[in-house]
Amino acid sequence: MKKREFLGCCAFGAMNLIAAKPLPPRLHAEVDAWLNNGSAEDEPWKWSKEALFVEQAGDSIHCLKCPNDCTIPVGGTGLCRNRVNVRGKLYSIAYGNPCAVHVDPIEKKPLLHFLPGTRAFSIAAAGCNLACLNCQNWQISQVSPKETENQDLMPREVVNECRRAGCASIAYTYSEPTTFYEYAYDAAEIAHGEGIRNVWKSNGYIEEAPLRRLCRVIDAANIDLKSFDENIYARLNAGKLAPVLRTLRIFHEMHVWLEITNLVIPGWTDDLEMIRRMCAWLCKNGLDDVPLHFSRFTPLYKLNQLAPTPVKRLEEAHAAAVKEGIKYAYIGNVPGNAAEHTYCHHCKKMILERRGYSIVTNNLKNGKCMYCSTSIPGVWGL
Amino acid sequence: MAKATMPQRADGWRVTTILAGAITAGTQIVLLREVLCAFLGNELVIGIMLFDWLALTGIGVVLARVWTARLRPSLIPSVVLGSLLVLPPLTLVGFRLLPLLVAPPGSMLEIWIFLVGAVLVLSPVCLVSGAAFSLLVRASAVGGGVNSVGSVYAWEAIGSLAGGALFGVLLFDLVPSQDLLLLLCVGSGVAGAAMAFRARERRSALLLLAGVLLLLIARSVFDVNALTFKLRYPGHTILAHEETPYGVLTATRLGDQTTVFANNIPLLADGDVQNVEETIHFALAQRPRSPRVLIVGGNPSALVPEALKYAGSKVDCIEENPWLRDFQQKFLQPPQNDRVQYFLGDFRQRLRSSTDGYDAIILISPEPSTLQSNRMYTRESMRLAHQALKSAGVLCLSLPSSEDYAGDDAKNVRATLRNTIAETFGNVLILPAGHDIFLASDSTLRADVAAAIAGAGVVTTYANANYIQDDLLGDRAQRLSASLQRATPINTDDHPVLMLAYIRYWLRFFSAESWVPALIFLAVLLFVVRADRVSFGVVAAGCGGIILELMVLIIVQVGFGNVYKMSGALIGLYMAGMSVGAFAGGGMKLTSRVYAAMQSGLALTLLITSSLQYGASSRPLTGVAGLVVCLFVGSLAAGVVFALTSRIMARDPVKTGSRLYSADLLGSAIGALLVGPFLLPLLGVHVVANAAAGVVVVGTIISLTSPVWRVHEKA
Ligand code: SF4
Ligand SMILES: [Zn+2]
Ligand SMILES: [Zn+2]
Repeated sequence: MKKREFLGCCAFGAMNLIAAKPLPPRLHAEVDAWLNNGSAEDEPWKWSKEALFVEQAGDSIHCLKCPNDCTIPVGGTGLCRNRVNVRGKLYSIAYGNPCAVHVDPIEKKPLLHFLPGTRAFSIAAAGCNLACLNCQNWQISQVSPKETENQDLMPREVVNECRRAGCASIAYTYSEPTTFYEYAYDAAEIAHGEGIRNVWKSNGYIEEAPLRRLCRVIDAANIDLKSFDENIYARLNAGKLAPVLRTLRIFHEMHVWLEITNLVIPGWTDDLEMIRRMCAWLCKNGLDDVPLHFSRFTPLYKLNQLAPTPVKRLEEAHAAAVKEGIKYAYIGNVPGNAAEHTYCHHCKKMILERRGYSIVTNNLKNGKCMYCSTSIPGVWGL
Repeated sequence: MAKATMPQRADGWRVTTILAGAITAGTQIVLLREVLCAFLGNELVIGIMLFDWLALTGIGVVLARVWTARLRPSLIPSVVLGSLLVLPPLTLVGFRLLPLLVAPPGSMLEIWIFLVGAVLVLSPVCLVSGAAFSLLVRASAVGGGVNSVGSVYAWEAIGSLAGGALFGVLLFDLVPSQDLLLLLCVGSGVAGAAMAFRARERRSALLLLAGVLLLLIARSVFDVNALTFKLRYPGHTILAHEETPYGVLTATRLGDQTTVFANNIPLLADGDVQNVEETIHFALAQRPRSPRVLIVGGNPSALVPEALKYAGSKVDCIEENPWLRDFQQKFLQPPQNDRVQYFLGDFRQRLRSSTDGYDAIILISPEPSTLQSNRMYTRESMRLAHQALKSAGVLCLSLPSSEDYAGDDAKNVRATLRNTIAETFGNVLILPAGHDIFLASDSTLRADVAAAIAGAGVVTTYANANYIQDDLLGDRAQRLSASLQRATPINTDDHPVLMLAYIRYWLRFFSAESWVPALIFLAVLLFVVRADRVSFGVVAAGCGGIILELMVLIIVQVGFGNVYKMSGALIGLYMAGMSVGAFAGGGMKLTSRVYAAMQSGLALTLLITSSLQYGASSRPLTGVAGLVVCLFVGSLAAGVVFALTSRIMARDPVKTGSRLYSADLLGSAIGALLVGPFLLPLLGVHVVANAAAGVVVVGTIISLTSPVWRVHEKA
C-alpha cells in the first residue's frame, strides 16, 4: 500500500472516530475557554454570584454542594454546567436568569398533601448534576445558562411575580435547583419572610451542609427516588443512590413537608422486588407517612425504544408499597386511575376524591379524617 | 498438485462476479433495514451508512491490489465466494446485536458510537467486496477479456440488479430477509465449490462446502431473532414480528398492555389516554356539531371512540401501511361501527378524492425526521388538506412536547411548521400540552379547549378542566407562539427544510454538531484528491449518477407515498442502465468527443429531472415516465463513461480497475452523504440537480485536460 493511501485510510478512520464524540465536560470547558480566547469565562457576567460551599484547592476550587464533588480548574466549569471558576473564584452563573418561568397547579409537581388546589410559581435555570437517559427537560438540564434563552428575574422580582400571578408558593423545578442553589435560596428567603411558601422539586442529589441550610427556607419538597439500586443509578442517571436517601431522611427530620416520586420504567426500574425493598427501607427510616408517587413512564429523549409503563405494573407497585406499610401511595400520569385519591390510612375511607388537579369531595376536617379523626399528614391550608 | 499441470485460468469469473454483486446488494439492503431499526432511520444516518459502505468498498478495491497480488487466478472464485459466504451473515449479526450490547436498554445508540461502530462492523464485508472487484478484474484479464474492467463492472451491476430484485421485489413477502441473505450466501458457496471442482482446486472446494455446512449448522443452533427479542424486550410476550417494506413491526404484550413497535420505537400502545384525548378533542371541540372527521395514521382503536363521542360525527380513517393495519386489527381491535370507515392507501390520494368536505382533519405522523414523514408537514399537504376541509374546517397536527422550555433548535422546528401551515391557513394555534398540538383553520380557533369540550357536552377522562386549566394553557400557548416569531423558509416537498431543522434538533440529543459529517467529507476529499486527472471524470459521474438515482427515488416517494416496490424497480433500472452502458462502452469509438457527449448526457438528464413536474401535479403519469427515461439514460451514460475511461487508461487492468472503481465509489459516497441529509433540504431538488450537473461538467473538463486523451487521439 502506498503511503498516501495509508494516510488517507487513517484520516478517514480518525475522522469517523472523533466525528461526534462529545468531549468530557472538563476538557470541554478548557476547549471552550481556548476557543473563546478566554473571553467568555474570563469575566463574571450580570448573573454571576459567588458560589456557596466551596473550598480552595490550589488554583482549583473544590465544590462541596453536591456528591459530584467537582474540582474545577481556572476557566473550568462544573459537571452541572453552571458553576465556573473565574480567576480562582467559583461563581454560579445562574443567578437571576431563569430559562423557564411558568405557573403550574401544585399537584403537577406532584405534591398532593401540600396546599391542594393552589398554584406554584415555577422557575428553573439551566443545568443539572445528573444526566438521565430519559430526561424530559434535557433542553435545559443538559446545557449551561449561557446556551439558553433566559429572562432577567432577580430574587426580589421572583417574589413579586409570584404574588402578581396569585400563587401560594414558588417552586424551584424543571431542571435541578441544587445547581442554581444561590439564586433559589435568596428568592426563597425573601418569599419566606413574606409568607409565600417554597417548594423544592429535585433529584435530591445534594450534600448535607447545603441541604440543612436550605431547610431553613423550604416548606415542601418532592424528591425523585429514581430507583433503589446503585447500579441503576449509575447507568440510568449518572449518579448515586446513597446521597438521595440521606436527603430524604434529612428533609423529614428537619420537618420539611416531603413527598417522593418513583418513576417506573419498564426494564429499568419496574422490578417489584426492588420496589418492595425500597418501600421497606422508607418504612424502616420513619418515612412511611411520606406520600409516594409511582409515575408512569413514556418514551422520552434517549430512552425512546421502550414501551410506556403498563398501568397494571403501576398498580402492582402501588399494592406492594401499601403492603410494605407505605401509608399514602399514589399513581401518577394515569388520568382517571383510582390511586389518585387520598384514603385515610386508618379507616381506609376515601377522604379526598380527586379528578386530576381538582378535589371533588373533601372529607378532611382540620387535617383530620372526617370519619375516624385520624390526623392526615400534610400542609392542608395556608 | 494441480497447479503445475493446469493453465492458470479462472473460468467462473462471470458467475462469480454476478454472485458477488448479488450478495453485496442483498447485504446492503438487509443492513440498511437494521440501521433503520437500531437507530432513528433518518436521511442523515442512512447517508452516513451508505457513505461508509461505499468509501470502505473503495478502500478495499485499492487494498486488494497489494494484498492479493500473488493469488493464483484459478483460486479467485473460491476465495471471493468463500469470504462472501460468512461475512455478510456475521455482519448482520453484528449490526443486530452490537447496539443491544453497547447501548443501555431501550436507548438509542449515541451517534458517535454509531459512526465508529458502523465503520468497524462494515469494514470486513466492505473491504472484501471491494477486494473482490480487483480480484475479478484480474481473473477476467487472465481469461483474456478485451475490456476486462468494463465488463467486470457491467457483470457486477447485473449481479446487484439481481440481488436487489431478489431482496426488494420478488422474495420479499415470502422469506425473511436474513434467511434470504443466508440462502444467497449458501447458494453462492455451493456454486463456488462446483467451480473450484471444475478448476481442479479440490481443497478449496471442500473448504467451501465445509463453510456452507457450518453456516447451516450455525443458523439452526443460533436463533438471532430469539436472542434479539430477549435482549430488546425483556419480560414482554412477543405477539407477532414481521419485516415489512416500511420497516420491522413487532407487537408485544407487557402486563395488561399491548404495544406495537415500528423499527423498535413504540408506535401504538393502548392506555395512552392523554395523548389520544388531546389529539381528538382539541380539534373536534372547535367544530363539535356532527363533525365529519378524517384521521390519518395513528391508533384508530383509541382515537375513533373519542371522535364518536360527538353526536352525529362521521369518521374516516386512513392508514398507508397495510401491515400496520393488519397489526391493528389483530391486536388492538379498532371499533366497527356504521359511522366509521377505514381506508388503506396514501392520505394525499384520499384528500384529493374526497368531495363533500371534512370538518376536521387529524394528521398523525412520526416526527418529521425522514423524508417520508416530512411529507405530511409540507406546503403541498397543507394545500390538499385545505381543499378537503369545509370552509371553517380544522386541521390538526402535532409534534412531541417542547415541555417546559423549547431550545433554539426546537423553536426552529416549530416556527418552520407554523409558518408552513400559516401560508395556507388563516389562523394557527399551538397548544403546548402533552404534545405540541398545532391547530389550523381559516375560521376562529379557541384556546380554551377545556371549556370548549365541556360546552360540546363530551365527557372525557383527561381532556377537561380537572387536568387542563385553560388560563394556564392559554398562557403557555401565548408565550410559545411569541417565542416562535421568526422568519423561516417554508417546508415543501422538494425543499424539506423541516426535516433538516428536525435533524439538527435531534443531533442536540448527543451534543453533536451538524458540521461533523462535513469533517468526514473533508477527510475523504483528501483521499480522493490523489486520484489522477482522468479518473476525476469517473468520480464526477459516480457522484452525479447517485444523485440522479436518489433524486428520482425522492421525487417518486414524496409524490406518491411509500411505493416500496416501485423504488426497488427504479434502483434495478439504474443498475441495468449502468451495466448496459458499461458493455456498450467496451465497443464504442474511443474519442474525447464521445466521452464528453456521454458526460453531457448525464448532466442533461440531471437538469431535465429537476425541471420535471411531479408530486401533486396534474399529470403524475407523464412525470413518472419522464423520470424513468431520465434515470435509464443517465445511468447508461455513467456506465459508458466508466468503460471509456477504463479503456483510455489502458494500463494494467487490475490497477486501472481498482483506480476507477474506487473513484466511482467515492463519488457515489460523497453524493449519498451530501444529498439526503444536507443539500436537498438546504437547497431543494432543483438546485441540487443543477449543482450535480455542474459537478459532472467540471469533472469532465478536468478529466479532458489529462494528457492521455491527447496521446490517444494522436495515435
Ligand atoms: S454543584 Fe455542580 S459544580 Fe458543584 S459538585 Fe455538583 S455538579 Fe459539581
Ligand atoms: Zn434530569
Ligand atoms: Zn379515617
